[in-house]
Amino acid sequence: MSGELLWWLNLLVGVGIFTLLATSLNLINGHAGMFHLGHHGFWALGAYATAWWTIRLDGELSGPVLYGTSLLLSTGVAAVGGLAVGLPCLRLRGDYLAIATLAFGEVVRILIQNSDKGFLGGSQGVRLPRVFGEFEGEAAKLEFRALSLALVATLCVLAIWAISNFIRSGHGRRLLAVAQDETAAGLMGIDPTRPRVLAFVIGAAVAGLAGGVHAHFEGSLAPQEFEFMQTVKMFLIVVLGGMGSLSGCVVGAFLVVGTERLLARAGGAIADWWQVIFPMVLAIMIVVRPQGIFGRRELSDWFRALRRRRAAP
Amino acid sequence: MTQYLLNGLGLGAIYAFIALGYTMVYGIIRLINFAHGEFFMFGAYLGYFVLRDSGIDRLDLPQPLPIVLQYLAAVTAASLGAATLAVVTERVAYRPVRRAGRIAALITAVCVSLILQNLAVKAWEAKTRSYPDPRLWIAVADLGDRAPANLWIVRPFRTTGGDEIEREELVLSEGDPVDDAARARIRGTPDARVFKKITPSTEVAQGFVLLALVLWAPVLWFLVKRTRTGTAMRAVSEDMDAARLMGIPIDRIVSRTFFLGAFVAGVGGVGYCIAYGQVSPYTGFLPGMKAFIAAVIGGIGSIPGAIVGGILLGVAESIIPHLFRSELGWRDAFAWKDAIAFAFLFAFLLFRPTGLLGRATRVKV
Amino acid sequence: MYRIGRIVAPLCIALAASLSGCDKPEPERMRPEPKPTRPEPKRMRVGVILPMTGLQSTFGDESWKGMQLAVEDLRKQGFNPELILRDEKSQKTEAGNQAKLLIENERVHVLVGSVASGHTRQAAIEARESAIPLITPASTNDTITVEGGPYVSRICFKDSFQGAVLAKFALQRGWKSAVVVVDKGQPYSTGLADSFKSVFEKAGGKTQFEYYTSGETDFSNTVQNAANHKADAIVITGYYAEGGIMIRQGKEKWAGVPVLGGDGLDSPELVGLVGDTKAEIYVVSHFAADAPDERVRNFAKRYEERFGQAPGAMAALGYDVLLVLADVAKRCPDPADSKALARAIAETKGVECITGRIDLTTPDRTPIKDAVVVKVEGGLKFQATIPAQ
Repeated sequence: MSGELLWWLNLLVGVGIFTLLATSLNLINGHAGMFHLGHHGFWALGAYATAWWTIRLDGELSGPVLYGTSLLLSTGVAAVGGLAVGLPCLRLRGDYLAIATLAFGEVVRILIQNSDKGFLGGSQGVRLPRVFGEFEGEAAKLEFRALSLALVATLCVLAIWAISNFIRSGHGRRLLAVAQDETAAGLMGIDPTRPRVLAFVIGAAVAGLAGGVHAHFEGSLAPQEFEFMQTVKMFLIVVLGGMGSLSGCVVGAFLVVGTERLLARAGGAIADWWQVIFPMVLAIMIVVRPQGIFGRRELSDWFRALRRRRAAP
Repeated sequence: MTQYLLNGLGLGAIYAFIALGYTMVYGIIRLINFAHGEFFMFGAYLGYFVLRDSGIDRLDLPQPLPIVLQYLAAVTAASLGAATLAVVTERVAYRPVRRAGRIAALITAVCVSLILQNLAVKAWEAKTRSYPDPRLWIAVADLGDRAPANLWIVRPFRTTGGDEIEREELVLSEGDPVDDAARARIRGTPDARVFKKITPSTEVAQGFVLLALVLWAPVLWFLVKRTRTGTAMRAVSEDMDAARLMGIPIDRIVSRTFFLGAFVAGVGGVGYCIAYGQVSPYTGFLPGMKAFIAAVIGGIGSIPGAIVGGILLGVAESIIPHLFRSELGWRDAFAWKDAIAFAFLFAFLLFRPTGLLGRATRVKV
Repeated sequence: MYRIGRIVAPLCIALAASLSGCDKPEPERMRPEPKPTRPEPKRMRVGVILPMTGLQSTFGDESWKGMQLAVEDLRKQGFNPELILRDEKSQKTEAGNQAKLLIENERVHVLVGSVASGHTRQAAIEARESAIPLITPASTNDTITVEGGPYVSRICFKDSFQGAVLAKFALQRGWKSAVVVVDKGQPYSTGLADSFKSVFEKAGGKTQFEYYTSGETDFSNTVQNAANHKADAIVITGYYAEGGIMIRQGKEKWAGVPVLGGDGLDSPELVGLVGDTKAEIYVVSHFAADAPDERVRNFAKRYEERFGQAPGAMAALGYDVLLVLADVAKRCPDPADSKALARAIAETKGVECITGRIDLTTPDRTPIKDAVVVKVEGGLKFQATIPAQ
């Protein structure tokens, strides 16, 4: 029985990490309308920053402090990455931005892959020491996963709260205006630079945070896992949920990660074909129902509508 | 140094072949066809199957005619197959999204690329297959006293599992005397012949691709500049709506563009696999991306740009790491060659997004 | 209030959605055997992780065939394990994931696998954290059993030994300088290269290193770089898919220079990949089907009749793992007691296998066995045996 529980905890943490990734991708692509294909690069930056820090300072800082500071570092490093990408890419539009960001994602992976073994582990990957003590046996694993889940869930709530606040704020509105029609916004006196760069930085930071959590949870990293397919997966989540809806990201993450894990476990014909099916689903969704499940609406809008209906006689 | 230059030229020619397809499609419908690398890969696999199974090399014609015919058949199959796949893909996946906006179109392109790659994995397994070497068949009577090279025979074999497979066996090593025992063994096989394997060296294969590029370039120029279809393509790429108003059948022209682009990529696919001796479902991915970068460098939308960009990138990939190694003593320089390609991409995107030979487009408000 | 609702509600909905219906078809298992007539000790559940698809698929495929042959043979002797095979798709992270699934959901008693050292390492992490023993048939990197702790063992020789074998062979042939072509991305390759270098240089040889990364197809520059050193021999420490291409591309540049490889090159595919080369290619292996040994020849004959192809080293190692497990089962009647099982594995002594005598009582649970050198000549032909020291 504990095997089942372990599996579910694993799944939920995965959902949480991808929720963070999807919401941050959504901010850049959905709200800011910038075509960003290199999100896995920010994720990788965060994960590896955490790994580097944890390995360097293992033993010198206590468990929770090490964990916390490593997450701060991952967020910071990724945010800097977001700045580095956002600023130069301001001049690019549409397809060109897409290629540039895709290239960025790949370059991060290549840089890590070719790095010195001692620095970031290179192609062979890197192993993080368990900050709360190495564990042996089911009970310890269970405890660790439950703890991680609590943490990830909290971070998700915080991230969604932060992002939705950003969207409601002045910056966010300026961002939406620029995304809808840059020229018109320019005529209204809105400088597109700041909100766009902010979107990149915030999106990157959240992705970096997800990277840090991922690094600690998995316990080891390999550059090969930070490939373009991951960004496509995030896209599927965002499109499925609705580009522009935060609740959509959560639901999408559950559906996509859940299906993937269940299939991996079950095996069988569908699991074999998953790599073909999932891009097909995305392609079909994009044509047939591009607004996804929620469109631009949030779950809270649905509650509000329900309340209104109940109030009216 | 010249060696690296030549390597670069050979690689560059292959990039150029693939880049042509990217640039033509982008020029006409402003779509980055991520799946183009997969058309290339599909062509390569068709070529593989022709080389492996068609048996053209066994025809009883004076050598080296059977081998030449087999290669021609392989290239034809590859290019026609890739072109057909391209046309089908365009019809099924890209036409519905043509009006749906950039993001939708790009996502669809990425998805198509992944679908094709993974379909190939399902059909042909994820492993790399070695590209079959051409076999030069020699009749027993034509063998002298000593084996001129390593000689092989083919023997059918039935496993207890019931599978019928064909196995290659080395019957004589180079220089071995051709005695009666060997002759008897050879006669015991269904063909009653031996073959020697001819492995084309990478340089020869790259040379052929370069030659093919040189031959194709004027053909393409002619097609694009002097034929009606070509002119129609150029018209559509300049202004689709105006072209439609002039009565140009957009759908048909787009199909033909895809056909042509993939046709050329198919040729490149076979060339690539012969040069590097292997094919796998992922063969299209990296060359596809590099070729795309080459198209951007050369000016996406411009056919001479694709060729220039391809060659430039191939040469840069070879020479720059070599220089880093020899001048700066940087041992690992070659491991970074992919990064060099991306660095070029960034540089061009930031400073000259229209590429070397591209046209600057103006956006009207 | 809205914000919380936004989180909780989708959580519930999606939880329900993903709970609803996925029936789980059985993962691949061995065919069920007829009912036993007397009570037997608890049946051992063995989780097998192998690269059945992907770049190393021939290794996985051969290993599995060897294991199947072993199970058929051992069943007659009363050892009847349940083998559950999972594909790691030649990907590191997948090896770790499959290990998790096998341990947590399939509740296996022992893990067998994988092949590439980097991948086995991932599975070993899971094994260690869950306190389940793992035996790898073919991973040769030294650190795996050390990092892995008392739960991880192997039945093949390790890279420090293999590197020494390569060096000894080279020195025996009078080669004084060597270019070592290394795959930066594989711990197997870098480890083997280092061990070759230390032994070779200690005896007065000179080495130069050239690096490449796996996943590439164009090695013409690597080939050129290696040729530039004009060494007496070229040592390739990577896997056969790339090594084969390099040898083929080096047909002219490396003409007349002998090529040495580690067991990563040891695959029947290599013969096809290298094309029509005249180079002398020697590969260190665990096994040669045509070695002058009765047991080996018998095994090779039976394997060929069953599967239609000559067995490679992976097949023999796969067979041997099960021989070892059979021996362990005699000494450990309750495989569910993982501590006892791990101890029994570590106490394995003197099991006569196809690839040699296996003794896991060494400090790093790695047997000390002989190696063979095979030559690529239209197939992999036995050349010499290098005894364990």
